[in-house]
Formats: sequence, C-alpha cells, structure tokens
Amino acid sequence: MSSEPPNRVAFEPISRRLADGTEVRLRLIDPDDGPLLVELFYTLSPESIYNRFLTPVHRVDHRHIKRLVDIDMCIQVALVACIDAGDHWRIVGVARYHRNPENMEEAEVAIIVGDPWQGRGIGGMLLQEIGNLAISCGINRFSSTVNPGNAKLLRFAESYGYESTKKYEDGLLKMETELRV
Amino acid sequence: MEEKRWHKFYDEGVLPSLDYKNLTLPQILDESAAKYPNQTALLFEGFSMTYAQLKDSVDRFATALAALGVVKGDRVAIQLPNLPQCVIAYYGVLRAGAIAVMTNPMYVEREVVHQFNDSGAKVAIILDALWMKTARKVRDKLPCEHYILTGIKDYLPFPKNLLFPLVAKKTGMVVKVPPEPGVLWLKDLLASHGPTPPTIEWDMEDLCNLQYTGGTTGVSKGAMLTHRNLSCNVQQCRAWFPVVVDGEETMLSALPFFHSFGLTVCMNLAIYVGGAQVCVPNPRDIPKLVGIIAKSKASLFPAVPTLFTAINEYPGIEKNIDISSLKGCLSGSAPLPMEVMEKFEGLTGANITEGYGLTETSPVITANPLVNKAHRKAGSIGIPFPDSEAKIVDLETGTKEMPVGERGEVILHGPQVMKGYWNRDDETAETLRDGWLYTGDIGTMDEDGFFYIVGRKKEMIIAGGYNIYPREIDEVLYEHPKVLEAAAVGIPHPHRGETVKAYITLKEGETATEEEIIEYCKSKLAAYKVPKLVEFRDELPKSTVGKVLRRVLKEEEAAKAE
Ligand SMILES: CC(C)(COP(=O)(O)OP(=O)(O)OC[C@H]1O[C@@H](n2cnc3c(N)ncnc32)[C@H](O)[C@@H]1OP(=O)(O)O)[C@@H](O)C(=O)NCCC(=O)NCCS
Repeated sequence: MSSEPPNRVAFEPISRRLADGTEVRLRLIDPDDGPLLVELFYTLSPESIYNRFLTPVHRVDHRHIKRLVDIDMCIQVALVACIDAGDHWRIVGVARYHRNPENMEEAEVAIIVGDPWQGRGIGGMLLQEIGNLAISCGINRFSSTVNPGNAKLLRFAESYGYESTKKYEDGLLKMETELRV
Repeated sequence: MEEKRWHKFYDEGVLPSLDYKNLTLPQILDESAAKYPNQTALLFEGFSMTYAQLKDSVDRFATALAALGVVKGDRVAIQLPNLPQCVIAYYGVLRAGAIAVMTNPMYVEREVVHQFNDSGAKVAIILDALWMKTARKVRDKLPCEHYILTGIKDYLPFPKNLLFPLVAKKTGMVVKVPPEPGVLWLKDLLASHGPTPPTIEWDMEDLCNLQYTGGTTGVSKGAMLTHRNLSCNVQQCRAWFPVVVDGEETMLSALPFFHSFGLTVCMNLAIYVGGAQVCVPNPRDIPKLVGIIAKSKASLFPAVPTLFTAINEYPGIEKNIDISSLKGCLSGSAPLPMEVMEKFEGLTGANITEGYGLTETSPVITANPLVNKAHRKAGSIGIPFPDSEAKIVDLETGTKEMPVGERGEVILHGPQVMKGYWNRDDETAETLRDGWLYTGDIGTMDEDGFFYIVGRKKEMIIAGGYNIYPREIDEVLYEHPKVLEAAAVGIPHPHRGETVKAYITLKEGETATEEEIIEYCKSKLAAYKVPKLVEFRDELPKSTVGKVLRRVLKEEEAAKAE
C-alpha cells in the first residue's frame, strides 16, 4: 500500500548549539556539496568508513559522490550538519534516507559524523531531524543494515530512544525501527 | 557436572565429567617419555625418534632458549610446517616457560610483521626457506632478538638428507642462508646444550599459546590459551575416543600444527596417548598421503572434509591401496557431508566423528559420538564434550536462552575456553561474558541436545577449513594503485566449501588483468586468503544509501551455478 505521490520535502535551515556552545547548522544537502563531502570523507577513520559503507573504501569515487548529492529530495532525502570553519561552513555530518519504492512508508537510513566531531551530539541532532522529516512525509519505518560489530551505533541508536528489531542476515545486522510521532 | 540432555548420548565409557590430570603439556611429554621411552614418537620420511630422544631434544632446546635469555612468559614465535622440528620447537618453547606463537608458514611479510609485533616475540624459530622468503626481508620491522632456523633435511635420514637438495632445488625449498648476527641454527643449539633446562614453577593458568585468529576488524588477534585449556582439551579428546589404546596408536599428523586443530588433535593428542605420529607437511599431495597411511599403518587421522573427499576419490583406492589400519577419525572446520563420511568409513572400517570448535576453545568443544553410529546426526556438530556446555541464546542481547529448535547465537563454556585476547580488552569483553564464549555462530539445538550451525553473525568466508574475513582482503585490494572499489565474497565451491572471489572496479582509464590482481594479492596475503577469481565491474552493487551489497554478488553467483 503506498501513499500519495510525495512532493519535494521542505526543510528550513536551522541553527543549533552543541553542549560546548559550538554552533551547528542543519540544512538539506545541495547538489554543489560534492567537494564538502570529499572534505568530510578525509576526516573519517577506517572504522567509520567501514561501518558506513560496509567496505574499507580508500578513495573517493566521484560518481558515487555525485549520486550522494544529486538527489530528488522526495524518494531520497539528506540532511547535512555544518560547522563554521572560518572560510566556509564545512559539512561534519550527513543523515539520509531512501524510501522503498514498493512501500513508500518505509525508508532505509544511514548516518555519518566525521571522527573529530563524534560524541558531541551531532549524530543525535541529525537522527532526530531526519526522523521528524520522515514522519512529516508519511514514513513510519526506518531500516538500516549495519555491521554487527558496530557497537557504537547500537549504543547510539538506543540512547536516542530507537527501539529496533534486529535480524542477522549474511553476516550483517538488519535493524528496523517504528517511527512514532 | 549437572545432568544435561546430551549426556545420555555419550559413548559407553565416556563420562560427563573427567578427572583431569593437572599436567602442563611439557609435563605430559615427560609422563609419556617415562612410560614409553622406547616407543616411536615421531616419524618423517623414514626418520624416526623415540619418546626418550624427543624428550632429550626438547630439554636441550629449552636449555638453549634459556641460555639465549628466554624466561617464563616471553613469547616465542614458531613458523614451521609439520616436521619433527616443529614438535621439538613447540615443546622446547613451553619447557622453557615461554608462550608459543604458532605462525602460519604461508604468511607473507605483512602478516608476519603484524603477528610477531602484536605478540612481541622475543625469539622466532623459522624454516630456513621461509626465513629467506619472508621474515628476513622485513627483519628491520620485527621485534625478535634471535632467529633460530632449521631446514627440512635436518631430520631426513641418510641418504635422503644428501639427495634432498637436488630434489628441492626445483621447488625452491633449498636455500643458502647468509650468516648474520642473531641468526642461529636449531641443530647447532641442540648439539651445544645439555638436556638441563631450568625448572619452571608451573601454574595451570599460565599462558601456553597465543593462537592467532582473524577478525572482522581486518587484523588478526591472539587468543590466550592457558596450559589448563590445552591440557584439558587433549584429555577431553582422548576421552571422546574410547577406541584409542595408549602406547599403541599411530597418528597421521596431516593437519597443520600451527592451527589449534592440528596442534591439539594431532600433535598433543599423539603425545598424550604415547603414540607415534607421522609428520605430514603437505597433505595435499594425495598419492603420497595414501602411501603414508598404507606404509605407517596409521590408526588415527584427524582431518578436514576436503581431505576425506580427496582420499575417497583417489583412483584405485578401493582395490589397490590398503588403508584399513585407520580406526578413528575426527573431521572439523567445515560440514562433513554424510555420503563422504559413509564412503570413507566403508573404505577403511574407521569411525569418523564430526566435531566443532574455535581457536578460542583450544579448539574442540562439541562432537558427535564416535562409536555408536546410531547416536550421530547428519548435519549436526554434535554434543558438548565432558565438562563443556553449549547454549543457544537470543541474538540481540545474548542473555535469554532460546527454546529447542529456535535460532540464536551459540555460546560455549568449559575448561578449554580461552582467557581472552592478547592486549585487546574490548574484544575480550565482547566475546567473553560471564564465563561464556560468544561465538558469533548462529545455531540451533534439538530435543536431544545436538547442535547445528545455520549461519554466522559476522561476515566471514570459510574456504578449505580456514576462516577468512572479507574485510582483510578488501583492505589489500584497495591498496592496489589501480583499484577504485573492491569487495571480496565467498562463493560456493564443491571441495573447499567456499572460495574467495574478488569484485573490482578500476579507476578511470586503468586496465588490469585477473592474473595481475591475483599476483598482487599473493604478495600481501597468505595463499589461502588470495582470491581465486577476479571479476571486473563498472560498479559494485550498492544499496540506495551507498552500502556495498555482498549479498547481491553472492546471489548472482548462485544463480549462475544453477
Ligand atoms: C554512529 C554515529 C553516527 C554517531 O554520531 P555522533 O555524532 O558520535 O553521535 P552523538 O554524539 O549524538 O552520540 C554519541 C554518544 O555521545 C553522547 N553525547 C552526545 N553529546 C554529548 C556531549 N555533549 N558530551 C558527551 N557525550 C555526548 C551520546 O549520548 C551518545 O552516547 P552513547 O555512547 O550512549 O551512544 C557516528 O559514530 C558515526 O558516524 N559512525 C560511523 C558511521 C556509522 O556507523 N554509521 C551508522 C551506520 S549507517
């Protein structure tokens, strides 16, 4: 059962402060964000890369980057978190979802925060906002396939109130979370 | 031990709880040498050595190690194929109070550097050819103070020792080793030291081995096995084989000693029962292997399904070669198909039992009953050993026991369960919880307490009995200058269980051949991890949020096979 054909999401950029006072701006990803994603990539530890892409990517694939920024904002939606780096606002985190074309009330979600900025609440902020955005678009379930050894993520999801059912398939862990308003 | 549902399926004479001898492995050797001084301990290509001689060599070697400054708790690496020297080196290291770091002879430079450094090996005992091929090239990156070398021909009888260089020249197994500081020879040390090693104050909880095992993080880690772990496991294996007659068996030691399976069920078990063991450095030479069985009248043969299959299929095995001396076999590391088991039993009259374990469990912890064939179950890894327990718990929290027949994580408990991982507290805490070892294997238990493995919690390839973690292969592939993206996948293989296939996308404008990639992998990975197949793609399949989908690659491969 799929809902009405969805429209482009609306998301007004917002500004938040971390516990340490740092300003974080959240906005939708932009097709011109490619270079900023590359900049983010170079701050990721091998662990973070593996956990996000499930393979130890060593180099940036520009076709892949293009696909990550050039999205329709209805089936695929991505939010970025930015911090003032003096000459520009650098992207320090990304949360995205992709709706299941066969069941638009369901979406696969992924999230990444650059290693230097992890553990300061940015991931939590992104998760909350992407969750709200999803709910406002009629999505009621998030799924994510992750590395079962990603203990950080399991703790993270739990500490932000994501109660998930977990299924182990082919050496990976499939998590599903019902979104509540 | 309290009554468990599986105890009623134990073979006659196998007790649910054993009265263990509190002996470390070198003390077990002393006991066998005292009981059977003139019985043959080691056989290799016509060379033989009695228990009294083995103990003498072991004592001399331990004396030499002590003279080199090795003290209790030091780590000593051993990188040798199954040769008499490996047994002497291993027991000598333990007798000197040191911790053995068994190292795969197939390891290439990158792997040796990691393992010797991670363990902090003070001394390494290495086959001369491997020294030249590998360790010597990276000596400046290794922590060892001394290297002790030995050559295959050191333990060949006359005239094979003289002929060996001629034969071996072709295979690259004969090498000229330049004299260098810190490089010593095993045979010189044995000749120049008496059998008077220092007395060690033993504690059964002392570490005996650091047994390296791969990991999902892409680097291998050392399982800390104590003297109690390894001593108990060999005694449990002995108890499981009621057909064994102490002092009278001949063990076919064809499983590599560097691996916990060969270490316990070949090398240590043979010594524990005072049996002779035939050292087989290359079991893949099947004509030679069946010849050895026939000639040595081997009675015990622990192996892997691949080997049983190869012997079953060996031309003329039914008529021309007598391998009926075999009476007890243990199969492990991959499922043993029923038809392979039955055919092998028909050929030999032996009983085979399928067992299960991990490096972390020394390794054997469950097996099917050996004698009573009505009590074994096809496709099952069997029932827990004496004093051992297995349980199926929920995959999410690992705290709730699952009902009979339902899937969950297999967790294990027993005197053979390791103490933890060397210098890896986080991984130890994840793996050992409340005295239970969390295996990462997904399984079920039936009404009778037989266990079945149905999957894995982590991404892993099992090829020819080896556990291979795709991430380690990916890491190597990504380091290739032409590679843009890579994913290693385990695809089904009739004999090896699975085999490694690499999927690669190249950087723009680059071209590469399958051979080139395989050659490159050979320089960075032990042979068993090297992809056998390489496929180039424009792109790897990814989920919509950009995660690599190995599952899709596997399914494509399965579809092709149909
Ligand atoms: C998982 C991930 C997205 C979390 O991002 P993050 O920015 O570190 O998340 P947060 O800072 O909001 O939360 C992390 C922890 O820090 C805590 N925290 C948040 N703000 C904090 C602060 N100001 N001070 C101290 N701790 C804080 C959170 O409570 C949370 O605690 P936990 O250990 O109980 O989980 C990040 O680790 C990551 O990118 N990992 C690699 C990629 C990945 O695994 N993605 C998931 C699969 S797609």
